[in-house]
Amino acid sequence: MTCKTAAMRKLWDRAEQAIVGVLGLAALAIALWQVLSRYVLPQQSISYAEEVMVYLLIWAIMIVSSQLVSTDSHVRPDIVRNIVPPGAARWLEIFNCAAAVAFCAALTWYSWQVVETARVIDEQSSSDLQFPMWIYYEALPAGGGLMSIRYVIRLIEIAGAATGDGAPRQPGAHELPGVD
Amino acid sequence: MAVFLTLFVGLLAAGMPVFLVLGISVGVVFAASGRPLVGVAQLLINELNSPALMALPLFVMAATFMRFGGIAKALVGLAAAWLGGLPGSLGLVTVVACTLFAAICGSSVATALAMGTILIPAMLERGYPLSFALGVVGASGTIGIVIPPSLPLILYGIVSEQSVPRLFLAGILPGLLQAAAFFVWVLYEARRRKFPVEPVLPLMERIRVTLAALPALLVPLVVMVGIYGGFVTVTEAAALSAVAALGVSLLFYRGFHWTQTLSVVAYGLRSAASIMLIIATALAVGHWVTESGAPAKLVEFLLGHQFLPWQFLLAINLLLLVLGCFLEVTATLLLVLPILAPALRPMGVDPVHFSIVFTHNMEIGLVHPPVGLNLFVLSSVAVAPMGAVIRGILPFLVILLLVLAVITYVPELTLWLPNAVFGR
Repeated sequence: MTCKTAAMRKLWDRAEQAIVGVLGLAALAIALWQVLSRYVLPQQSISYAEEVMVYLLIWAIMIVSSQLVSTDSHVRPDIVRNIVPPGAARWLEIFNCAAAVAFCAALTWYSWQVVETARVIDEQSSSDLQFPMWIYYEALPAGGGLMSIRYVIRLIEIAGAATGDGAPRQPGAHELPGVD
Repeated sequence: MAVFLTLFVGLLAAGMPVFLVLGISVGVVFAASGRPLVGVAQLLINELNSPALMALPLFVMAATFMRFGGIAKALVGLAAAWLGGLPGSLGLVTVVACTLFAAICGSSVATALAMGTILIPAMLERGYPLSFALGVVGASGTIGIVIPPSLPLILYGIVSEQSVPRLFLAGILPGLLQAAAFFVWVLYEARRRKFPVEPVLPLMERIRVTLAALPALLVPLVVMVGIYGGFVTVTEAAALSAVAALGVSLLFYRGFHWTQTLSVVAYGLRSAASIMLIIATALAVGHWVTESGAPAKLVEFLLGHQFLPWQFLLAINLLLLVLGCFLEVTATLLLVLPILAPALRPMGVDPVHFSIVFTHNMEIGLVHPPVGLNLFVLSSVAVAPMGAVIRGILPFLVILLLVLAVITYVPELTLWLPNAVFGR
């Protein structure tokens, strides 16, 4: 990887983080306002606050998903990968990345059709806001597209290298405060 | 069904990320049944459009703030201040601090992570064996999902249409029982293996540390009073706990600088994203499973063969233990629950009781070799070989299994508190 692409990728990461951070804070602010206004300023309360919070959070989550690819921190069982010989593990990982590219590309394509349909029939949310649903649906092709690109990069890196399976995994790759 | 299972197991074995396994499987079964794939995309985005579901990313964000913001450290300090003088003090501190952290965090991995990064180095420095340090953190971390708030219980509530506040209450006593069992075991081990004793702090010092931990304890207070006072929904409580954790971190403990706020928020959302993608795809699979008519067939089978409730529970426990070895918690829950939920009432099993049996099984899955997620977290935090982690976790695994038996066959332990608060 040359210096230039490394710098570009860093910029990309930073941009994603900044956007996601702002979306996340906005979601928190709206949720806080919803509770406060209910008890303190009922006439100022927004009936669709919760709806907007969902849109913000889902957009944030879809955008940031691509970083789970670049840091290889999607939850996955790696038992087989750890016990087979390194050569086989490399092919396994190439297979995984190729399948991931195919899935994410298909996801982007089909979810784009969902967006298009919603735009054509002018689908709106049933709340007072009457939010154009295509803007919310758009989060899925956006996330799918970003993940596709990250998976293509990962595939090229692993297939391009003579050995290795994309490991060593970054320390803390499992740093996932998940549901468990 | 056969196509689905083969594909599912095969891809999982190849080490593919869980959300991809689920997504590809559901795509293939949709295509095989001749339905347009656009339907899958629509299903995914619709399943995510749920305010109730947003409690999960919000609680995960809160946990991230607490970990980076210094709240985790304050809770460890609190436990340490009152447990000096006992044999194996630090081990006991781990159990108690994990229980406290569990009351503000809904995830076991997050609990093990937050506590592990502080307590494992501390224990090693004081000469504790590596495997014990790893074992006690990994096992105590699992308390995170039984003591409210709990992410799996929120999902359980959504899928099986149960009241989440009721489920939260049901988890408290079993969680405390588990913590007590661990506490006793650590005491016993500490005596036997001569673990170091920490000095008793002077009373003034203890009071000072306790006061310093008060803002941290504000966070669970906000959640509990909010939910049980009937002031806010579970999702709002999750948002409030994230806001409170952020505020307390920035104003009191200053674990991160305010300029880092955006990256900490993004980090929290990244952790949330890893489970939300699994949830979206697993919900789509669950949708397909329900449509396939498998749940009705199961009920028919169970009633037709005159299974008794205890046999049913035993069989489910065994099934979940096996699944827990290979799958991640949310995925297991969302795949299995739609099939089982309709069978609970006919089998005479209370769904609230079952939620805790289920969650406790998930705990065991988290620390069960070969693929317990907590095991991986620990081996990466402590840069320790997997073998040491597994050796350390084994005695705790036995205790967890005993507690599981109690939870399964003494429903009163689970049901007493929610029934006392909400009535039957």
